[in-house]
This record gives sequence, structure tokens and C-alpha cells, in this order.
Amino acid sequence: MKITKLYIHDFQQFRDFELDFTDPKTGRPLERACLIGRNGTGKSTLLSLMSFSLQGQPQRGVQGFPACFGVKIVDHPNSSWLTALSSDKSGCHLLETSDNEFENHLHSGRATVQFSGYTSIAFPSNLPFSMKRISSRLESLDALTFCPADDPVLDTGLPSTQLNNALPLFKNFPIYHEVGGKASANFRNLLIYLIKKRESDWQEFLNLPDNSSRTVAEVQNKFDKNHPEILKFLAEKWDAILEPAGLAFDYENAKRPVQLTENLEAYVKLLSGQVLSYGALSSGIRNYLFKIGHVAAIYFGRQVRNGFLFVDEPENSLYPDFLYDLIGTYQSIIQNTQFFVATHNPIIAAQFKPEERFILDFDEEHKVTVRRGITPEGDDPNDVLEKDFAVRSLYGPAGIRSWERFLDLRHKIQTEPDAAKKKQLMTEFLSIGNNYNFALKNAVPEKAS
Amino acid sequence: MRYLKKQAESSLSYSDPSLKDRIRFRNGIYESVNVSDSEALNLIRYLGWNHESLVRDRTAHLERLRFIREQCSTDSDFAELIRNDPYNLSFITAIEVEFGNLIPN
Repeated sequence: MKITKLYIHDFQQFRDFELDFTDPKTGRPLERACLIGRNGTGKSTLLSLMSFSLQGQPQRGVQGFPACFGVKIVDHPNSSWLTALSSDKSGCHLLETSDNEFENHLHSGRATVQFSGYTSIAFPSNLPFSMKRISSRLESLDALTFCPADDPVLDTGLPSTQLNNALPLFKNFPIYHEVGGKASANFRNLLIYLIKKRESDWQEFLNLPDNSSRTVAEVQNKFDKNHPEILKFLAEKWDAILEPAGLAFDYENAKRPVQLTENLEAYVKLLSGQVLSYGALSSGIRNYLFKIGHVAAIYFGRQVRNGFLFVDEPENSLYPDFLYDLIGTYQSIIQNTQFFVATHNPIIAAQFKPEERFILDFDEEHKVTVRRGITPEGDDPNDVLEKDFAVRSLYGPAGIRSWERFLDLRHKIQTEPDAAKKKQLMTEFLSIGNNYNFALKNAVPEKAS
Repeated sequence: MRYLKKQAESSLSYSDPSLKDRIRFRNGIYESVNVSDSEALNLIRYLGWNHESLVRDRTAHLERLRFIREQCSTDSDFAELIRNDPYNLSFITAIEVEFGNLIPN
């Protein structure tokens, strides 16, 4: 299940706005997409709207709802649905219809705006046509995960939780998960559940008739091969993140949790062996570890066939060195999941293909427009900044003044008759050029007209 | 540097006396004299001599020096200028290939 299109008509800064999440070459749905754009262009709103349309609940950060909004979902090549939503005085309506049904309705005279082959309408509160509620369409959804950007930074005091809070997960494992500071207790409940589930699976496995003739050690060995431990799995993921900072996950000390409350505080240690309190970590690393850990736990030991992951500003409070592998890290812990990211960061954006990048901007009437990226995947983030983010200059005011002085010196060196003065100019030219690594090829003199 | 962490270690040492005969600087990049000399290629990779950003820095630096060389009336004027600039030590081999041995040991 993939989102292939999104429509918004007259909502906040969006007028007739369309996002096409298909590959322009193949027409197939994109596996991942990256929303880029200056502040206020609605990246977070778009993530929230998509998440809303899939779960039927308002998301934080969304004030009101579009009068006309649609997300097109594709299950397989021959079958597509459009979810449409409206808000009026009577509230929101979450609907499901086929392309044809939707178009037929549009041609019935209710249309108000012609838009990209479809006509957007404002749905009346008492719908005169038959449409099923979207919930039936989404029954095959396994995991819907939303990581908001404006989550409060986790403080040193970890929220406590109890075994009783984790037990309901045995009966009802939720589809929707919010990940972040506010949801850190859910993460810990999830860890307790996964640990307790493994214990329960072990007891069941031990009592299998096939195992009656084996020693406990043999059965344990067989069980361990097919039942990985969540903390060991997290240790691998977290160690890759922590290693550049000289840290490691303290797997051994975190191995015997009951409530996890105490043990979580001993999860991280210096590579030299000294155990650190969780609170000693920077807030950026703490949040990153918990987000990765929480998403990993949602997918751990499950066969997710249809998932969606929305991550808003994954770069928050992280040193650039952590960002280069960030998208790959998320992708390594999810499966069969369409992955949406909103970011201001060119290092993050560079990890996407140009057709996966959606650059939002304002038109002259301050309405949001969109275009796809240009620079190739893995390009220099500075190129992404210049070409995709359309940042005019990467130099600050002092750098721009130095560039102008560099050009001025270049000209003066060629015309200065006094040898001593010329030498001074050349020394300054080299000094500025070295400091900023200015390239002469960027300073081609203007041709005489 | 970040990119160096992922490079395989080379069995050829930077101080190996055969280095000068096995690695050369040509057209802005370092290359092995023998295309199949994997030790030399590994060392170049390990030390990041041809990393994109370093090649860009080096190329821009050599361009600036070429411009200055054109503006100097004598070799000794040019040699004095670059000798007094410690930044040139970062690119000493490339400078020697481009301009000859102007910086005494």
C-alpha cells in the first residue's frame, strides 16, 4: 500500500496543490520521499495530513482541516483508491472511493475547481452518493508511525512504566505509533512487551513435543537462532550511532530487565567501560537513540506488509556527522514501508534521489508550489543547497566581502607597476585565497563587449 | 576525516622508499604508476589523496599559484612567495610536480 498522490484545495497556504509521489520514469509509487522547503511552506502539515488520512485522527500541529483534501492510495497496479476528506460545520468525513466513482461524482455538477484531471470539490455534510468509510480500506495497514519534530527533548528523568502497562500489547498491538519524547513511555512499554513475549515464546517452544528428547541447552540454542533479542538488536543499531562518540550500548547490564526503569539508565557506557547515566548524553543523541529504538521496536519480530513512516526533521539537535547515514539507519529497521521525511538539512536531502525530493516554495501570491530535486543522490550537500534548496550564496557577509577583495586583488596585481606593492598584493591574494579556498575559475573576467 | 574511517588499511607505508616510484601526481590526481599496483592504489585511497573535496582544494590552490607565477617576473620571486606561505606544505608534492622544486628542504 502506497500513497501516490495528495491534493489540497484552499487550506492555509495551499490553493490547488498537488504532490505526485510516483516515479516520473516508471509511474510506480515512490518507496520514500523527502519534503524540503523554507519555514512556513507546510512540510510538517503535509506529513500530518497524510498521517491523519491513514489513521482518521487529527495530528498535532494541524489547525483545522482542508475543505477539500485527498490522498490517493495504491494497493497494487490495477486497483487504486482516493481517500477524500472534508471539513465543514458538521465535522470531517473520511471517505473511500475508486478513481471512477470519484470522477463520476465530480462530473455530477458539484465540482468547483478543475485540478489535474480530477475536479476537487467541497463535500457536503450529507453525502448523496455511496462511499465507504476509509477504515475498511485500511484494514491491511500494519504499521503507521509518526515522528513529530517539535517533540520536547527528553530530560534526564525517564518516565516510569509498569509491566501492567505493557501487557495489553499482547492482546492489541496498535497500528498507529507516535514516536518521540512524549511517547517515550510507550517505547519502554514496547520493550517490556517484546522481552516478556520472548519469555512466553520460550516457554511455549520448550514444551513442544519435538523438543522433549533434546537437552535444555540444545532447545535454547535452537530457540535463540529464530528468536532474536530486542535489546541485542537495539545494541547493534545504537552502537553504530554511539561509536563515533566513543560510546556503546551497555547490553550486558540491560539484559535482565523487569520493569526496565533502572536498567535503562545503565544502557550506555563509554567504550572504555565506564557506565554513563542516560542523562549524561546530549539531548540530540538521546532523542535520536530513542526514535531509532522506538521505530525498530515497532517493526521488531513482525512481518509488516503495509507500513508508513513519517519523520519530521530527523536532523534536530544532531551534529552533521550523525546525519550522513541517518536515512539508511531508518531504512535498515523498517520493511515494506513507504517512508516520508521533512527536512531543512541538505545532508539528509542528499540521501534521496532527485525524483524523491519535493521542494516547496511560495509563489508571488504566497501560495505553496512544488518542484522535484535536481542534484543526484549522494551529491555534495553544498550542491543540494545551491541547486535544490536554491540558497543564493553559501558564504556569509564576511566571506562575500573577502571574495570581492580577492577579485579586486586579482585585478590590481595585474596592473600594479611597483614591485614591492605588487608583492604585498600577491601575498594578500594568496592568504585570502587559501583561507577561503577561492577558485579562480569562478572569477573569469568579463569579456569585453 | 570521516571518509578515511571506511577505507581499507594499506599494506604500503607512507614512509616506504619505493613510494616515489610507485605513486605519481598527474593531471591533478594521484595515481599508481602501475595500474595493477593495488598496494599503491590502497594507500592513495587510505590517505584520501584523491578525495573529491581534497582534489577540489588542491586544484583551486594550484590555480591561484599558477596565476601568481604568471605575475612574478622571476622564479626566485615566486619561490620566495610560496616559501613564506606554510599553507603550501599541504600540497608540497603537487607544487613540486607543477612548478619544480622551489622550496628547499
